[in-house]
Parts: sequence; C-alpha cells; structure tokens
Amino acid sequence: MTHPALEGKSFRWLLESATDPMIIAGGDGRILLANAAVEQLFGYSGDELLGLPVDTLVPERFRQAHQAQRTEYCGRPLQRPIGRGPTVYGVRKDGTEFPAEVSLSPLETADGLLVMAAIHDISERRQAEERQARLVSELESANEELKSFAYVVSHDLKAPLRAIGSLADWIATDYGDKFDQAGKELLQLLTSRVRRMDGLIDGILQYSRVGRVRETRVPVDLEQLVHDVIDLLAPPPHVRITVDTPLPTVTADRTRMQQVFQNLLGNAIRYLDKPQGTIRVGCTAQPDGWRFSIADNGPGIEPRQFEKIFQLFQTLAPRDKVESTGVGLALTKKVVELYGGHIWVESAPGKGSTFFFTLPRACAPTGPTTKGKQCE
Amino acid sequence: MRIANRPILLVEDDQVDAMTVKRALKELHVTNPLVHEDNGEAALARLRDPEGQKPCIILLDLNMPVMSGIELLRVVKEDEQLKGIPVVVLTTSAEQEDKVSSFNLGVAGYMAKPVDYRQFVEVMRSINTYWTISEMPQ
Repeated sequence: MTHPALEGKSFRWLLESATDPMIIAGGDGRILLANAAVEQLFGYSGDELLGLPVDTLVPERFRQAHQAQRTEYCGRPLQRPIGRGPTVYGVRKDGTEFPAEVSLSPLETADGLLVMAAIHDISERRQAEERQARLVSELESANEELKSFAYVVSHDLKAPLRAIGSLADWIATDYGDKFDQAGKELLQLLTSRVRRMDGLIDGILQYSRVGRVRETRVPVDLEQLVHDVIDLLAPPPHVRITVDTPLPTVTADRTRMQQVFQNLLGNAIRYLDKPQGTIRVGCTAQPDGWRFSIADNGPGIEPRQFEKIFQLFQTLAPRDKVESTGVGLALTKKVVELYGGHIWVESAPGKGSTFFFTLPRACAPTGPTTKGKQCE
Repeated sequence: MRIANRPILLVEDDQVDAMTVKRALKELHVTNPLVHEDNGEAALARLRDPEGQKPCIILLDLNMPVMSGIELLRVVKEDEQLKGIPVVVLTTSAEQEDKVSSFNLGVAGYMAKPVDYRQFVEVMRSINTYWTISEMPQ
C-alpha cells in the first residue's frame, strides 16, 4: 500500500528529489533520464544529457572498456551496491575528471532491461586517503631515521671518548710523578666519568637495538632462563632469590627475555638495603597470556616515581652512590611492549617493591618495522 | 708475532687509536716494525708496492674515509699476492652486518676496541699470543 502522502507521485519526481546523481539508461547505453544532481556533477544541461551515451561520462581512455563492461552487465544484471564495484572515473563536460563509485540496479520493464546508476563523487575521500597514506609513510620514515640516528650518533661518540680515556690513562702513566695527590684524584675522576659516559652510550646502543635488529623467535624455557640469570648475577650471600611458581616456555628472542629478567632481578639485588634480602619470582596464567612478578623487600619506591623510573636515563640514587646508567628499566619496558605486554610497579617506601609485567601468549615481534602488537 | 722481522700493517684513521696500538705493542714488547696507513687506498698502495716488504699481519679499522675497511678487504681477498695475509679487524662497530661481511671476507679475527686502555692492551696481548703460537704463511 502506498502512503497517502506519496499517492500520485511519479518516479521522475522521486528521482529529481534525490541528492545523489542518478541516471537511468536503456539497454543501448543511452541516457533516458538523469536527475538535477547529474546535471550539476557533470556540467551538462538536462536536454544535453537526454539520449547521450553513458560512455560519454567516462574519460576517453576508459570508454572502450566501459562499453564492454556495460554489455557484460546487461547479460548478467545484478544489484551492485555502492562500494562493491571498482573505483571508476567520471569526466565532466569541461573535460575535468573525478574518481567515482557507481552502484547499479537493473530495472525490468515491458520494453526491456533498463539500468539505474547512482554515481558518487569520491574525490574528497580519495584525497583524504592519499593524505593519510602520505602521513603514515612520512611517520614511518621519520621513525626509521630516529632509530638509526640514535645508533649512528652513539657509535660516533665512542671514538673520541675512547681517545679521551686512553689519553688520560697515558698522562697518569707517563706523568704520574709530576702530579700531587689532588691532581691524581682529578685524573681518576676524569677516567671514571669516561667509563660512565661509555656506559651511557652502551645503554643507548642497547636501547636503540631493541626493535631495530631482527629478532629470532624460539621457544624459551623461562624456568631455565631465570635460573641461568640468577647464576649469572651471583647474588651476595645475604640475598635469597626464590622462584615460587613454575615458569612457562614462551616463544621469544632469548636475549630479550634475558634482558628483562636480568634487569629486574639485577635492580632488586643492587638496591637491597636489608641484612636479609628476599626476592621472589612468580607467574600467574591469564586467559591471554602470563603475568610475571618480581617482588623484593628492598627500600621501596614512592608512587610519584612509578612512571619516571621507566624513562631512559632516570635513576633514583645519585650516580656516585650507585653506578647506574638508567637504561635498564627503559629497555625492559621497551622489550615487554615490543612483545605486546605491559609493565608496572607496585611499591611503597619501606615496604619493598613488586615489578609486574605481562606477556601475551601468541604475541611476538615480527620484525624491525612492526609496532610489535600484532598477534599471529 | 711468530715472524718477528716482518712488519705489522695498521690501517687506522684515528690518530689516538693508532697511538693506542703502537703503545700497546711497545708495552707488550712486540718487536715487529709497525707501519701505519690512515685509509684503505693508501694501505693497498703500500701492499702492492713491489719494493715494500709484505706485512705478516694487517690490523684493520672498518670506518675510514676514502676506502673503508670492508672495501679494502674485498680487494685484498681477490688478490692472489695478498689474500694469504691474516687480517684482524679492530673496530668500534658492533653491527652484526659488519661482523658478517668481515668473516665472509675471511678475516682472522674481529676485535671491538674497548674504551679502557688497559683492556685494549689485553686485546692486543691476545692477538700477539695467538699469532705467536699460530703458524703464519711465509
């Protein structure tokens, strides 16, 4: 039943009212009807459009192919909604072109098959897509550049630093007897600062290498790895490290996993201030992966430092008290995030600290340029 | 070095690094004369000089102007007269790519230059010990 308001309204009226450009063409490809929106889009008058072959509305170079497609369509007419068909080009009366999407509907009539086409000018969307693609590619190249920049710069800083270190050593050796005690101390300070800077540069190198160098993913037995790391760190006798729960085997780069546990356990040992230190390693299975924890009874960390400690070169103790580059936790965070996990700390001054991190079950880095969040 | 009368060729562009090698060799009482070139091209000219004595070993830096260490290696290992000379790379580069290229070109060793001079002496001591025990082509 037709609504009374639409009673007596013609097909033409409906088409003219549409804001989308619409054309009805006959089986021979000549335009039988075009609405006002078509006149506006293509720059032809209504009279000019009437009887015009629709092929005239596509650029010259596509005309032959368009004709063939049209014939084929009439042989197998189907509803083809907008967005499903390939992008085509339209050409205006003045010769200018625009990218378009066309949806086609077959109209069966007593006089044969007619085709209704709705045409969308997608210039704006196309431009936006192109702009987005350009931005993404610029961003990627800037990111690449930054990665290699850190590496190249730190590499080149090493050469003069090594020279300073050697020269200081030779001054101390060759002219040592010409210095008084104060002079010798200055030389020692000079040498120790050279070592510190060397450590910082090594830190940048290590940090920039994560995600830049291709990883080799193999099954890594974390149980074995953690025990190896503990052996390597050789904790002093007053520090006891226990692994409370079984640790899983994950698919990852062995060196990266070692860095994570070595940094977290190493920090726990280094900052322990109790006569009896205990460090507990634990792991709980989660629906999509694992959550690891490393808990110590050390000095604890103030909540306002929770974010800062994961930043590059940030240390809480003065460097002259505890020699640290401030790279370890930043590196650990970068590795964990590369594997699609996250890392955080729960702590209070005097209460010890617990570092948590997660590793998704099926997440692993796929190469130097990926964002590391892709799952297999 | 096993062959004490043949020179050691050092290819190194950094003056202080060259001093470091000279000093370390002296400290280790290595008696071989040390000849020094600061880029690959000059080193190649010396190696191909019919008047010159062929070195018993080449200590090679990688990052150098004019002709890099890897470029020099490529030429040396193609040269029938030169390819038998052991080449030990002495570099700051920890790049995997450099290590792979060097070993693919048949280097006898790849040493990272330590920042600490004392450690550098130890590196040179190892090189000297090895090439005192190992036979060398005459």
